[in-house]
Amino acid sequence: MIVDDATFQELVNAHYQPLYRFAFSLSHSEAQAWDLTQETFRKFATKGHQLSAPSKAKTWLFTTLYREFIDGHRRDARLETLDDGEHELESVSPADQADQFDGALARQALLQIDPVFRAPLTLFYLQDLTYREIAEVLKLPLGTVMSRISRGRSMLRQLLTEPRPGNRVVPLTPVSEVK
Amino acid sequence: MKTADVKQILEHYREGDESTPEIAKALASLNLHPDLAAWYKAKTRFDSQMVQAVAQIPVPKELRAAILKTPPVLQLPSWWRRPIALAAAAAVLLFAGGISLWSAHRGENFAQYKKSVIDESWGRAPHLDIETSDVAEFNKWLASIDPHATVTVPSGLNDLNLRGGRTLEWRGHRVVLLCFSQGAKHMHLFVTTDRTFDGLPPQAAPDYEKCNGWKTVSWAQGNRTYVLTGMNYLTFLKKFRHSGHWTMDG
Repeated sequence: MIVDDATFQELVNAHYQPLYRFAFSLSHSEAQAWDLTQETFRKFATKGHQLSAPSKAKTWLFTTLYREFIDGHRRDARLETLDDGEHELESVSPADQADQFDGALARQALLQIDPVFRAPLTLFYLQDLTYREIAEVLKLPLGTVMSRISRGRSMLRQLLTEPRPGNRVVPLTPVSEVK
Repeated sequence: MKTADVKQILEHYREGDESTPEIAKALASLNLHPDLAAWYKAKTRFDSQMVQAVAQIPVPKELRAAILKTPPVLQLPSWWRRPIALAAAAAVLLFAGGISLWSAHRGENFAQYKKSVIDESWGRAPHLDIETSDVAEFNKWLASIDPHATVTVPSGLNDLNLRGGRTLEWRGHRVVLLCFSQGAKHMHLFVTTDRTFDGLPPQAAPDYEKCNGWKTVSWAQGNRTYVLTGMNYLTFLKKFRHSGHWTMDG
């Protein structure tokens, strides 16, 4: 694949927003999401020409960002964010009805789902990837991805529809690691 | 088709996904089962709202421009691999190498400078020659080394605690290092007034780049060139960009 300036710009335009949203969902942090997205494209700028076909670029970008996020938790933490509070969200109560929740509440609920389910669920709701592509990004069997999306959706519904103390959507703390 | 089967099939179906005969059959069966239809409607509405919620995660406006500052590396064309072309290219390279060797003496590369000073500053313990939280005291110390040298702290960094600094020299260039802290984090600001580097960052906007594993932001302001390490990009953005304008004075 030839990656010239025009191709690169086209890819950035098409994918930087969903990639950032995926990164934010993984990290809970605007700063980390920024860095993950930028680093992903930096890698693409230097290695993208190794791809055999342009059609693989999208999956490559999501895969690289996901790997970068996981690796980041294993690396030296010297460069972690200074803005310890910037990802904190307000505490809210869940909606009474599953079909009457607002976007902010839904996002908070999503960010509270266990990362094991959150990653496939976010990719599913981004609507940029097929199930097969999600499986490829996360390096999981297709059946596992489908099962995790189902279970993740159930958890989300529970958080958003059952106003019990245990299901309360609460302020977030950073993800320490991805299981 | 059993209710459980229909649910299992449609549980994973997203509107717009490729349909299969099985999915078509499951969708058709909704007309015969009001309960199933209600379940599917609720599921679709839920998914649709989640899709909207995820799509509304705000993306920083500056991100796209920051990404596009990284130019792609162009792939070598296939003729490059042919022996004759390779020999010709080698001759060209030899010539170009001679030219670049000559030009290397004219100006140093800013990327090399950045890498070297970052390595040098973090690699030494203790890494400060003077410890002070007072910029005036630091400048007094600096004047004892170089009477013409003085630094001012960029306004965006005023809320950080100065810990001290030192001077470095890179291929004849005088570099002043200021070390700041915020909580347990350290940030290093390298300032040089030398403008003879190749590839200096632009005056108008900063360059974001990872260097030796460090996030760096580089910018030029007046006759000074700054390199900041240890601060994440979004924090930098918040500190230095206000109402659409950079405030990089210092």
